Amino acid sequence: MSRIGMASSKPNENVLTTADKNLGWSSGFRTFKICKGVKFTSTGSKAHSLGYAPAFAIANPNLGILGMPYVYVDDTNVYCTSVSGGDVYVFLFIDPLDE
Amino acid sequence: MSSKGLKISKENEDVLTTESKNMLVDSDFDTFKIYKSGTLTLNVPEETLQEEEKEYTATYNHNLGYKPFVLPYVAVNIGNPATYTLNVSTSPIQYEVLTPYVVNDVANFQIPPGPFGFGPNFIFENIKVETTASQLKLVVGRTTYLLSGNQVKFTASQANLYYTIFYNQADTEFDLLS
Repeated sequence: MSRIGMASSKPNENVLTTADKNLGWSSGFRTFKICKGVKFTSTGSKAHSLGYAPAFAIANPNLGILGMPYVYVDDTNVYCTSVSGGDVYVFLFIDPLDE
Repeated sequence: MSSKGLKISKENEDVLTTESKNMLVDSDFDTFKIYKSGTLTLNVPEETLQEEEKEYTATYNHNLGYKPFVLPYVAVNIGNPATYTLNVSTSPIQYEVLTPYVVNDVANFQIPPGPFGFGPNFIFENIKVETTASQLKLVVGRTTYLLSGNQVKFTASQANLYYTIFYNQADTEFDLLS
């Protein structure tokens, strides 16, 4: 925990003394910050404009005949190589993948 | 990007000038917000099948009005060897599931290395987690294709899913960088 910041605790917990797990929110911890929702209706790539490979999560991992959609990123694009289960949505985070 | 908001930078970074990736908190962006966490339990009965597809479903009504982001991801599980044994030397064939089991434990397991069919026969259970605008569904399906009058007896089983539903909408496009 950093010594300066903001935090809020769960109800009936003292924010100054409670364990970290009892904080509802704290600026002392990293959280994923979602910056984009990207939609794929077919396989291919889309530019994300971040200049580095961002962390990401598949928002709707529909199963298709080829299993889960396969998504990956690099410094320029986010890629989707399977949409057999329907449209694929991906959350991109402002947070770098390699941190 | 908005000119007003709440920003807290990482240590040794100037909150007024540093890049967004160096922020611990930045209200310009969205975050994951938990709506509900809980357990879905699905009891699947003992039954003997020959050539059928059956599904059993347990649901939680979230009633958010849109399809939410949900954890865990659950990939297709075709005859997960961690949860079942198949004895083809008996009549009917015995498909015994280790029960109860936790869906989260097998969530990322896909087509197993071992046989889930033998000859022209085909037997498996699969597990799906589906979301709609109103419901979270845990679905266990049983599929059997058996020739020559063979039958398979599935044991009763209980699937338990520890789920987290987020307020975040899963099926939407947006760009908070522009």
